[in-house]
Amino acid sequence: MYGGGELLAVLAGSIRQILENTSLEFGRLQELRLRAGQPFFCQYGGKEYGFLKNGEPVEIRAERGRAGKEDTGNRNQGFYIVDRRDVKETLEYLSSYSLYAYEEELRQGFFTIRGGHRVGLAGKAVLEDGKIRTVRSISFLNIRLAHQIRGCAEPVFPCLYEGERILNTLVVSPPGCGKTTLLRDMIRMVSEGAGGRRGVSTGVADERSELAACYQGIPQNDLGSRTDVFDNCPKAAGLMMLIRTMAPRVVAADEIGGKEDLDAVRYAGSCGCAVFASAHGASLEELRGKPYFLPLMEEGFFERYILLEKKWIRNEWQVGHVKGIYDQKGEQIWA
Amino acid sequence: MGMKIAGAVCIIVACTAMGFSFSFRLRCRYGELTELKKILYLLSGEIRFGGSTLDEAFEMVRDRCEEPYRGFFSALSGELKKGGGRTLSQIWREAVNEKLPGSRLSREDRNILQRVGEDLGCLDKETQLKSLSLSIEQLDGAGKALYAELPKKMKLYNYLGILTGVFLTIFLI
Repeated sequence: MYGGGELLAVLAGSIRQILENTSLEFGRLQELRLRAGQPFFCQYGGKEYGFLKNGEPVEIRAERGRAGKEDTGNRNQGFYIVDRRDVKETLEYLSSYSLYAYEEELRQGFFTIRGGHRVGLAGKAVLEDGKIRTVRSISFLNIRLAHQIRGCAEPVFPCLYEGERILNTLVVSPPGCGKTTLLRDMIRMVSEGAGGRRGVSTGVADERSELAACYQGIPQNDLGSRTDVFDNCPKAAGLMMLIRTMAPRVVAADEIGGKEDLDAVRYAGSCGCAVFASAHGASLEELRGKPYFLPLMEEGFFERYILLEKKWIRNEWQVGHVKGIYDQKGEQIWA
Repeated sequence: MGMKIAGAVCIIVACTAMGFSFSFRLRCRYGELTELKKILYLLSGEIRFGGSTLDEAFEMVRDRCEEPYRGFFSALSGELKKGGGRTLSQIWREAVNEKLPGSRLSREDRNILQRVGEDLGCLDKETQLKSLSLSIEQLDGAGKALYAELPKKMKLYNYLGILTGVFLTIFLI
């Protein structure tokens, strides 16, 4: 594989060897899936690939066996099958041999590693008083790779302003369509200043360490030179603290959705800060269907909605396409 | 005659130095046990309150401890960052063997230290902290036992060194 040494270092030896011997480009790798007893799959350039025992990648097509052949029943034949030990070994490396440090994250089913890559996991839940205390016998891993794309917010940047005022903006898309990547670049541009506009102080509540990918408190992604980051802090608490302590002009948080998040966002707006945020949803109608979003949308709190989608272009899925930008009334102002 | 006197002086001085060196080793062992206890307390604190991963915790400990443990933790954190290939207990065991060859710890003390590495990286914080506190108790026990005997043993080694030198001199003359 070209690049991605940091990622290879946290994979089990056998999986690492497979990826090292392929000609895949790290920049186009989107997701790795390790399931104990099942083939090792990855999402690459919008397509799903499995790997043969000799390490050769094979494209998987829908409703068919590998390489487009009809499924003959033994669908895993010839593929490299992920061993339980592969999952355990990978988990050890991913957590820097320190699973205890991710106790809280394990309860939520994911954690973020250096570089901002998100690791989702599933296994046997251990309950205490009806709540998940931890997850053991972890057998399923999903590593979603974060790629910072500088400049991806350039086309939408002029829409974030009305005169000199920065507008409250919500980036909306289904999972895996590039919300976080766009939000990260919006933060960078507004913090650095672009298009003849001066940079402003920006505060980021980075609950899942995906925006800044902080390592020992220092952002590994470029969020601009006027950005303060509250890492690993619940969004609502982080936003409040940033407003009280760092006097930001803009505050940002990824994947808001809970009541507390939206209360904090509303509070930020009432303090004179502009808010950049992202949320799951395929359309504004779908967003309106979520109980906590509806009041904010009816109030016209968000003045810009940026809707993202993935498109089938040149024989592969490409993420991060702006489907449309809408104003607070839901009218499309850019397509 | 002059040669004999010079030889006798040499033997007595060498044996005395040997006795003092044994007694010094004993005092150093006590110092190292105390240092190790301090290190494990620091590690526990980093895990309990800092929520640090082991490579971060090792870096913090490295900056706050003396040689040879500074080199030991530096090597550990470097190896963990490299990632891939080996289990934590393997990395720990290799670091103990490679970075602490000149340590004054006894074999039992080294076994306690080896077990620390085997018990690190637990699934939950509580178990992790308990296993560290067990190791601290064991080191504490070893330190207390040594401290109780330290003055007696140090005197014994010192006198034994001098007396061996005198005895050898008389025997050879």
